[in-house]
Amino acid sequence: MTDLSIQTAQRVSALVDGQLSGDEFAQTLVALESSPQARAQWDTYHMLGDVMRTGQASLRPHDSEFLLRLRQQMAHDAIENVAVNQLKIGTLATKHHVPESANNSSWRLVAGLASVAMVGVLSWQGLNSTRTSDAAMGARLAQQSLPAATQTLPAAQLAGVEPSVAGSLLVRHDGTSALAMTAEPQVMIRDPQLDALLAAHRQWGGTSALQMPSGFLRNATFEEGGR
Amino acid sequence: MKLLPVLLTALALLGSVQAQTRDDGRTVAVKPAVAYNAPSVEQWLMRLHASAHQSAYVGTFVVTTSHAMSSAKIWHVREGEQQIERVEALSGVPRSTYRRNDQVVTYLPQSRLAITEKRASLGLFPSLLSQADSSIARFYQLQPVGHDRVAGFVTDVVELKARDSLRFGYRIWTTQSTGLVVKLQTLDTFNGVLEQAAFSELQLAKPLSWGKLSAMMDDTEGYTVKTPELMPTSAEHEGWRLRKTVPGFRSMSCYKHLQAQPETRAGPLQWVFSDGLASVSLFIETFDAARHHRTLPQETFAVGATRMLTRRVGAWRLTVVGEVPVQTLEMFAAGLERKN
Repeated sequence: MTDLSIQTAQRVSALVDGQLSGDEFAQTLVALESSPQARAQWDTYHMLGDVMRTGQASLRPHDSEFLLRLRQQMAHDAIENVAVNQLKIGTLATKHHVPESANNSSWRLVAGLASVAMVGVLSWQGLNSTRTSDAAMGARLAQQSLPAATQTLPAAQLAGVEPSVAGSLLVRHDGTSALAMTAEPQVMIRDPQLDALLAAHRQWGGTSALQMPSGFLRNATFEEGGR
Repeated sequence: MKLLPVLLTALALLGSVQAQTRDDGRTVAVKPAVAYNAPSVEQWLMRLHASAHQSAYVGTFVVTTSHAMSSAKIWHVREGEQQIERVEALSGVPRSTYRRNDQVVTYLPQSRLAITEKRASLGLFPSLLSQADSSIARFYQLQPVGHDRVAGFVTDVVELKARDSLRFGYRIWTTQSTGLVVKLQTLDTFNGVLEQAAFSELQLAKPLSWGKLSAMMDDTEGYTVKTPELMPTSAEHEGWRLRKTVPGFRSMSCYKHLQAQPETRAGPLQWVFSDGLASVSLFIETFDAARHHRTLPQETFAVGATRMLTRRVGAWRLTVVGEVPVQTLEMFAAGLERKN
């Protein structure tokens, strides 16, 4: 970043905070009008402010490209800040590939996966002999893992333990256990068979003390609907 | 950044923040826990269950993951020990789900289909606590976090922290006035939020009469009524066993899903496990090259907090599904074996 852009960034930041007036105010507005970079900074500072105030980012639909850039920048910055050794870089890099936390990322609306659970089960059970809507059948999404070679760091590397115990289950005397973290799946695919099994799990496998009321409401809202 | 540990330690001495050195050597600030006697996990869950029975409410419920957001309008009424609920989806394919105790009817107006079913799992609580043999407290730690406002209500916030890496944690918001859960987050092993279910708007009031909701639930006129067929069975009877158990998880039920076509009645076997909070389903089907087109030896998937693993096991296709980390699914898959 050049001196000029640093100065511009500082002024944009001050403008977001309502601290500019007079010539600086006017100059910064000109910079915002003429510089895509300045406008991107403007968006960034607003988003950071939203996140800090609410814990969530309120995003406009047309911000997808900006959001993508922001994520890339944040991932890059995070790695730079904590780059103490290769192990930690690897761990954090993997963490950044884990599905984004629901409370601090933009929630992309994925149409239709929704329908699939219930319709999928019916189809699988042969109950749904009539043709369901295109929308219902059209969008079946699940998230697929990256190829193993790219998604999974050795368990020992992630946990910082000796390779000899990598991936092994360590059962403690109280019955709890410890196992090295593996990377979580992420890439989206479409598969009606898996959707049907997912639906069956949530309908008949939801054995949890949290099932009532939250679990049921969650399943009725989410799994059979707007995934 | 070398000053950070020193600074945090100093602040910790002042009592305003706790400094904690993690396994990887990094020092992080930890928000102090609220200083009062926390109830046991079981006591807290019982209160949660009681509140679900006591409240009548109407609200908007929103479920979010990193890739999707869904919402629904909720009506909930109780009459004595009886409960009835209507969930009207506001996103995705139009559908209305009604629940009267453990009876569930889902209306799909586009296909004029009504699916009726009895969900035994909805009636398991609170016997689930005794079945789990208090293992919930062995594998989860209840930690009060503080207070917050959700949907206009002052709430207590607690975390059910997983004591090992075989399960996810939960952060739960309950109203101080009624104990109703108004927000629930499922947390990964890094404490990141995998999924959130929360009321965005909530009114504690009786929205509709029991009779009216019940009549709406039973009004199937103009709909084709279908009931999924499940046959209770046991894994042992079906020739399967778990050679090595997964810590904390116990077998809860086993069903055989039946197909509608008489010639192919044998559907997947669903063997359900739970540790009290998280559940895992093992689906075992006869391998069919025409249907099971996935070719990799093993694949894993995620939808919100739910993880899936599928692999071929000899003449069978095994799919393990649960709200648990992938390595937990892998342990189930590795432990399953066919009895000779």
